[in-house]
Amino acid sequence: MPEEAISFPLSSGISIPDTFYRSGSDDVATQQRSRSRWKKTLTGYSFIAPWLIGFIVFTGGPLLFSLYVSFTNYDVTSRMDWVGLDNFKRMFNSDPLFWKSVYNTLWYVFIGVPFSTVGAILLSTLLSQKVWGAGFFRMLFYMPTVLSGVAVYTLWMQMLGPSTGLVNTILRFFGIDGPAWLSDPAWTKPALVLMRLWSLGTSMMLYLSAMHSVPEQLYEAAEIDGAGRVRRFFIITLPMISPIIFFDIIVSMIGAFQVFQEAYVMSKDNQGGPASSLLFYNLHLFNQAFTNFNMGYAAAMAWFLFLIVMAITLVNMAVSKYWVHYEGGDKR
Amino acid sequence: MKQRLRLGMGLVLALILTVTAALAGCASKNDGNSPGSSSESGNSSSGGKIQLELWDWWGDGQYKQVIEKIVDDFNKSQDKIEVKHVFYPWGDVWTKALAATAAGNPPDVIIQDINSVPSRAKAKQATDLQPYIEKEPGFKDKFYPQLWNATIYNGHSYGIPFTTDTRFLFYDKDAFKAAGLDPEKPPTTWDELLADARKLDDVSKDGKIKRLGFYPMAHTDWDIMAYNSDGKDFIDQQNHKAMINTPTKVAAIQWIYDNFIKYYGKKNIDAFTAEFGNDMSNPFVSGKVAMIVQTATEFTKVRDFAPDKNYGMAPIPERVKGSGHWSWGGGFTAEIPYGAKHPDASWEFIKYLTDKPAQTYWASQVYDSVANIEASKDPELLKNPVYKMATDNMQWTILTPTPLYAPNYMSLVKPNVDEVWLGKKTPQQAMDDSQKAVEDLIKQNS
Repeated sequence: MPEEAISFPLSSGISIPDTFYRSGSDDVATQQRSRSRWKKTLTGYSFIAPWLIGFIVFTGGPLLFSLYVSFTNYDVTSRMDWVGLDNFKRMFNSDPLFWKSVYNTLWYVFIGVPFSTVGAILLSTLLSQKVWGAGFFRMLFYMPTVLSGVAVYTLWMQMLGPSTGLVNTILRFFGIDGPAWLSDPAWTKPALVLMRLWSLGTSMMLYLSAMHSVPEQLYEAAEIDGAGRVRRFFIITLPMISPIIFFDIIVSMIGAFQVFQEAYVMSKDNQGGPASSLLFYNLHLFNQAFTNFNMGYAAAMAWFLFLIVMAITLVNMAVSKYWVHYEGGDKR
Repeated sequence: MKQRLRLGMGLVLALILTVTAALAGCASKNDGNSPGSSSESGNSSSGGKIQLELWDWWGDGQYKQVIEKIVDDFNKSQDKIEVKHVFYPWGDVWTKALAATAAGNPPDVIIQDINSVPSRAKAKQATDLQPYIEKEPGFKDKFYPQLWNATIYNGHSYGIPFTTDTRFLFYDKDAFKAAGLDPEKPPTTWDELLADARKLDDVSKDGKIKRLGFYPMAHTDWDIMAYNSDGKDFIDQQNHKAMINTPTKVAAIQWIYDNFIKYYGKKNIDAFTAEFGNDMSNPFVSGKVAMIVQTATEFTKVRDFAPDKNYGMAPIPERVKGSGHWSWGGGFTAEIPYGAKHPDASWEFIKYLTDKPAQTYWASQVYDSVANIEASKDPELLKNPVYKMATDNMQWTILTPTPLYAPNYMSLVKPNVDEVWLGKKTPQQAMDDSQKAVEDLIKQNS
């Protein structure tokens, strides 16, 4: 029997000695060995069984179920008939709100994520300066991240009030007559991006720790060569933290694609108003699933979103070769 | 060797799946048992009574006390059924009930939205109540016909009307006096409404609004005025037709746009309305509008937050003389979710809940309009002028149940009308576009 190294999907903690894969000529010995290997295999699997069971029951199962459901007219209680690609056809051809929701979501992703990424980098650059009280400010900027959900959105609805809201009051101080943020469709999405900039805490922490691990000697060398602060930032800091930027962009993008709560809480009638300007993909999906009971259609939408996110993430990965710098060397 | 290994992995996976299935089996077995076991334990503890759960969202204040008193009275009125009141937050309760119904373990009675009964009937989320109703002669005549009709799917009723509401005009008599208007003569047509409103306005020269006489979208949406314009739904329920770009509906949108949005300026209106809220900041309570179209419960807000306000009530003014003081109402039904374990007992409770004593008590405590005609016309109740107004206004109240063939159709109409307010579409364009969108929706669903 040829010897083969078999890669085995065990968690990395358990290693199987090489001798296991060495077959003997003696049948009994082989049997014994295979039995003991079987035993080890079982031991391995039993160690990860809690996760496996959890995954199959709570994630994998429902995931596959929703894939199946996306090809049916499932309405939760009375029917689940195979309708082929009907849900997808309807999505692309005859649901005007679908494309509106795609547009709104892409807008939010492609405007919101760059702003929040640049914002977080700038913020952490400032906060990584060794000045008195930096720790206090770090805490201050992280605090909004601790607050969550509906309370924050309600607070922002007050702050975005056209005449007495805090945002417009400050703008008025600078002589700017602020817009009716949440009533004017042209300003609803910018309002949400603004709100997003307020809770950069998590990204900020990531960047801060990445910046602190940039070797000091690089800066020193650059300084000796006559590079100024700005130049040092662009030629040392940015490349050195680029893996974290990359990670942050991917995670933020996926998060932005899933934007839901903000629109659900802050829009008129929970329907994404005014003029559907806050009708994001997931809000439309939610309405289809839980207002209209079109669970099949909603599942189809969910899988389509998965494909979009997957595609954009793959593009991101491909492009990353050209700007992400790994200390292990470029793999370009 | 490789094959054996695969076999081994296969076995392991099979084992895991079996364990999973067994666990799931256990779980569902337990689930299946729990209502039974609770009712069985109930049997032992409360002497063979059937245990029921009533689900709603009345978790605090007056509503909670009132519903629990009704439940308590019912429990004392007989010795076979014991109802337990369970509440979840508004909105959540229905999603939860949907999940419970899908899992085959629903509550026994649930309070539901009256405008979506047919969709639950069709999706088998609610039990057909017709067999029970037929055993009770004259049962349906106890309720307002427009409410009853909203519960019908394929000729069968799937929910019993519980409460309803209706909207009418509240106006500030003191403000009327101060503006030189007769406080005993509320406006009766849109023209009069507008003329009075202008006199009550308090708008500074730069357009900043301090008070408006009337603003049609204070605490209601534009659709109330559209319904008021002709007393018709956007859908012709008999012929399954969209009736959105009718001249009267277009005229209603035009009237709002010309006389309010354009007249005061969208920006000023936005700034003004953004501060409308509930309770204290309710625009009528806080005096930001001198007239408002609202449900009867507006009165409790005034009572609690502006007790000195001297106000009058009138039906919503009609578009032109003779077009009708139409108003719009929603409401709630009591339903038995599909698959409930003791439908007979649930029905007994629903009967009690919608019968005269419980309905009268409900109305006298929370000032909701109730669905039971006799209860709503209780002489004691009618002594309260607000309540009397609400009851009288039922004759002008239409309901607009969402038809199955046009699910959530307003989500296609409202964005178009929003564009009118922005000046991007004329009312005619917006309603034509909506008409087409809803026609397409109906085509897809029939």
